[in-house]
Amino acid sequence: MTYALELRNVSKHYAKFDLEDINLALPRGCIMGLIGENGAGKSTVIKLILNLIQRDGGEIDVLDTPAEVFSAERNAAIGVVTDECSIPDQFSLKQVNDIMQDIYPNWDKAAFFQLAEQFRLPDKVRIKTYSRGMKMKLSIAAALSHHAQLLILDEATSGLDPVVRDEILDLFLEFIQNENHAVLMASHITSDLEKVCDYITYISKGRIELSMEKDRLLEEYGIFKGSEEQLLDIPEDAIVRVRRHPYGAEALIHREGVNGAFHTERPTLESIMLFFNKGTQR
Amino acid sequence: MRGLLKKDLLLLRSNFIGLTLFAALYAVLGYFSDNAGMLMGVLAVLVMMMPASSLQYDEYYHWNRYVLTMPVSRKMVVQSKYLLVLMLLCVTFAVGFAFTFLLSGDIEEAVFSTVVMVCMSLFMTAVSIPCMLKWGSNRGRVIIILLCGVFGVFIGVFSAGIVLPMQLEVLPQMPGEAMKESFITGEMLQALFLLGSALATVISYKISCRIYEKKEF
Repeated sequence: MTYALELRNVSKHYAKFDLEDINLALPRGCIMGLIGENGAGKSTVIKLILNLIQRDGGEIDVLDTPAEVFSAERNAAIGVVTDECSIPDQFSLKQVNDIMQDIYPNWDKAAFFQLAEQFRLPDKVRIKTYSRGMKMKLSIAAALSHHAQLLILDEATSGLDPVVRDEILDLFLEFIQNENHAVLMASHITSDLEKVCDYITYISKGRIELSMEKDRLLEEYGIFKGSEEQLLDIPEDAIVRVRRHPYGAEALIHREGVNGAFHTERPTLESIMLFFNKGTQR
Repeated sequence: MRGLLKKDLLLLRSNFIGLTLFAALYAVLGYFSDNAGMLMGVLAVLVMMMPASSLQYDEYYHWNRYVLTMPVSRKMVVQSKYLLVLMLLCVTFAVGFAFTFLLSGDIEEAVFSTVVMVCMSLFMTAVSIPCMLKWGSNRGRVIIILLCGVFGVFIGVFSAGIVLPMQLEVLPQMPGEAMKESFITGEMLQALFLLGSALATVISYKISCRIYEKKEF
């Protein structure tokens, strides 16, 4: 299996926050969702991958090149969309195209204008008149217009309505049809990730809590709801996290660790995230 | 590189229009008062303000963290800012030189005032660009204003003939006829200033590259 992205024991230390032991591998042909609460370290991981900040330890390979080594060829094969549009809003679509085609050797003008049309981006006005959603669509159009192999998206679908989000998720699924392509997608909209991701990596407080195939994750874990007494019947090592409510308790459990007599519900990414974040160890 | 310069020039277009009108006003004032120096001063400020504005736009739009994901090295980003300065210098001082020459009809005066302004602009940008890259464009602008003040005082003192005669005792009546008689000619002084400002620009570029290489976005 070849990887579009590999992080090995990566760390970054700030005065009030540490990112420690980050290990993840994104195989080509896959979409990986990066989830975690605000301030968990998702954007820091993305900045490290893009070499926008310097790491304190570990190794990062992006498209088979060390992240810290500048490679124009490698960067031309990466499309990046962050949570805000960094394209100056004084420009028009045509000016964005003019600039980008002078920057990217592989810029595809036809693809750019076709995507702009698909996203219904007006071409006669400046970007400053666009809504937030339209600006995000412009960033996505730019990221998809230079034949990238790796898309790195940091909250790229935030601010978009469900219809447009669905349209964009379809574009990502289409993008991934090429088995050389890969997508790393950090998002708070876990339903989007559930829809398109092959892998899920959950970061909490600067550490990776889990990183695995999405289907396996949703199969392996289950949610048991019952009383405190019923919880006592569940083997200790099967319980991952417990959340207690005034009317009972619920537990995130390893399905394999309990027998079929226990009825468990299929978890969602959001519920797993909440268990890890708000739950306790029994 | 072309894309980066195109982006800067397009972004600065509205600033250009305003400053061109400002320069035109000073050209008219200079014409009627028979003083080309005012226009030269405005042109020098124009050259200084453009990279500052460009860096400020980059910060505002978070352009740096975006551009560095493109096939653009950190060095290229820095190079583009210095190239922008050089391009502006060529255009603005060609205009300034032509205006001074037309007004005075004296090529030596036109060359002298152009050289002084080129050197001044280069020195100022050589200091301000690394400062803005290190501490941000807002603090960088404060530094430019302080520099303008320092240069203003320097020029005032220089033209009053206080500094150089004190430093170079061989030239008791600088500036003036004595300069022509001394072993340091006006041309030599101009060449020295040009060389110094070119050297300052090269050093400034190297420092900027080092600052930008380590900068986190």
